[in-house]
Amino acid sequence: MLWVEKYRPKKLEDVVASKDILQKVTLWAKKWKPGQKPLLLAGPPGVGKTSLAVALANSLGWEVVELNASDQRNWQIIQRIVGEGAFNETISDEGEFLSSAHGRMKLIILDEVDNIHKKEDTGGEAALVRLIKRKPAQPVVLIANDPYRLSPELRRLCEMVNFRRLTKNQIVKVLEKICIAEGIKADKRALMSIAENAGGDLRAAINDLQAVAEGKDELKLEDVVVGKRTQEKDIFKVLQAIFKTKNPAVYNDAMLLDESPEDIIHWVDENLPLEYSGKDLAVAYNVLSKADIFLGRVRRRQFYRLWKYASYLMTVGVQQVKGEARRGFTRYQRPSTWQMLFQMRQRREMTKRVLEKIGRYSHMSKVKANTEMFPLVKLLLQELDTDRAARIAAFYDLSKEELEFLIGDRASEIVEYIEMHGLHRIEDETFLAEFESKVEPEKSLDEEKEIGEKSQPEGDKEVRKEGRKKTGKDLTLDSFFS
Amino acid sequence: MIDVIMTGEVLKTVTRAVVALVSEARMHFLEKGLHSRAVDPANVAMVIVDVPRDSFEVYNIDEEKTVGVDMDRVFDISKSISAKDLVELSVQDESTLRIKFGSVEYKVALIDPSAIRKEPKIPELELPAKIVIDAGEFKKAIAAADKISDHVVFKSDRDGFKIEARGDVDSIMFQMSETELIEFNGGEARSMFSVDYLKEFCKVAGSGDLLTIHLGTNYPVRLVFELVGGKTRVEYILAPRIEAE
Repeated sequence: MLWVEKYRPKKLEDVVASKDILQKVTLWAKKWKPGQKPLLLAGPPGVGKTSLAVALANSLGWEVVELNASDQRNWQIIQRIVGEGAFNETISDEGEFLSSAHGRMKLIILDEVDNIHKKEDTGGEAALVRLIKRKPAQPVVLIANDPYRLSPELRRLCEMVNFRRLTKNQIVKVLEKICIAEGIKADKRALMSIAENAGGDLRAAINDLQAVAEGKDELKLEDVVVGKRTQEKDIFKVLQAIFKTKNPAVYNDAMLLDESPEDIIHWVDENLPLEYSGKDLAVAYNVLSKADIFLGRVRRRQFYRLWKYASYLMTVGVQQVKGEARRGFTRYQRPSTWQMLFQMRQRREMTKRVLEKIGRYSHMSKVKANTEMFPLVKLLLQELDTDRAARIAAFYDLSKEELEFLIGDRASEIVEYIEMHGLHRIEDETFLAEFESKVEPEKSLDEEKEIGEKSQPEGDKEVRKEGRKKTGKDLTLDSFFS
Repeated sequence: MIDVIMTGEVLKTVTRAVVALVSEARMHFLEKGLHSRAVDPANVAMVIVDVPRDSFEVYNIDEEKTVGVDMDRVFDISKSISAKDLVELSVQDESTLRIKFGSVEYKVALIDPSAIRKEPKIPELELPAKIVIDAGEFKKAIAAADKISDHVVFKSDRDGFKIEARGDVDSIMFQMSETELIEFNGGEARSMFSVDYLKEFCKVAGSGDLLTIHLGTNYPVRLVFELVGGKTRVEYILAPRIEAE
């Protein structure tokens, strides 16, 4: 049996973690009630995130539903399990019924959320977000190595707890305990050396210990001949090595990263002015531009061997030009380029949606709507009094987001006005139908609701509701068909 | 050594009943017949399957034995067996399950039972209401409810048994009085359940099958199906939904 499993902490007290983490987590669990934010445990591998979650559940007598990386899983399965698990009562592994009314909760642990294949199903993370917004009735814990690979929205919906790498002493203490339990007399220096090699990863340290010590009575320093572990590097470590040191080995570290040179260059670019100044900065940017030229060539000629030069230039090249490294800690930023690209795309899509509506209701093409009507509508919404602006907004059937995009803060005022006065778009068919019979009031009521609801399309339920209405016969929301 | 023969319908029913919740399960070949039970990965529902010895055409076992089976695969294969055909299941050595039907022989590797999730005990639940109903009717009610909502309320009182689903703009009510039900004890109970599970459960049954519902208040429900003309008994236990205040 693996020692990592054998000595996995059973109780919260046995977990190796800093006091503030333990406190935060305990507090979260103690005051837990339906609708509370899920916990997001973030930190490098092997520092006890999963152990902490499981131990927490054990301490409180909660049942655990764990979805970990070894399970064959995709978003669909997760959605099913989390979706059902989080909203239903529990039947334990033992076959016992646990009622949440008696505090017998079920802790749903989603391990390595940042590592689920996103390519298969891009809407998966959004589905998880929707799930969380529905306010699970059972506690949920998400675990991620790199929380920044999750969407900001998901992070916002969670209470994040950051784990740090463990110190050598913390690791040695655990190793000592295990040695005693296994009846092994261990040289402290041997354990130190294992701990050092593990680089703050307790799981790695325990595995190494098992490899060298299992079945022995005594562990000496000479026995420890573990190969150097390639410690997982993150981009921040690499940036630090580039900007603060002059050790060219950083190139190898950068290669170990799970990022392509095309991404790394953005990181370096973004953080360069935070570290260098004056002439160093100018020269470094010059070097970086050379790296970019190589990247361009790779793109154009599909000749990936050139990546090597680009990588060298952007790491070691930038590193070597500095005179003296800036002292003190620097907080490295995420490349703003990505953020910008994302926002631009969103803006483009929003414009497209608005143009579609204008085009449809003013009877013209999208192109024409863009050149002739769009600026006009925007101006009118901005400048007219609330009543008339609201009428225009209702006429074009603009949603709250679209209004916010067009006129900023004033949107909420207009949306309120629309809701208060029940303004809504009268479709041509509806309009004509009124001449034939007068049994339409119900329908317009329905529509009013629609506008009200549409302005806050939040949560899964609403989305589904709209989906259902789509299939209904008497609906007038053409906008949903596009 | 295990060597049993049954109709295709029995095998289909057993595997379908189990795959509704899990993809791998332990199958116990006992003196009194075949038995299997499992809790689903979300810890919300449990399935218990029993096929008494008499329901088999041939039932030969040296000793009571437990094997781990990849139910998904077996279910997939069993789809191609017609209901009346005879199927032979045999385990010669520890590692493979042989399924023979017509001129086809299908072999699948067994799973080490200890690698499959712990098996639950069968819980003892005190459930006041007992309702016996035609499974087909129940199936229809659930299918209708599914169109409206993702959860339904089961309610039992002196007037009869009700299944209620509420959408945002519509609602549906299925109601049967004592005279319409096959058996009814008039016990008072009310619980809410997830439709997705019920829908899966219903798949094993058709009209003509008997369904016994044991219902409590905010308590798990027991749904006992008697299938294949009483040859197979499938029981589901489903935990209720947590109702938001």
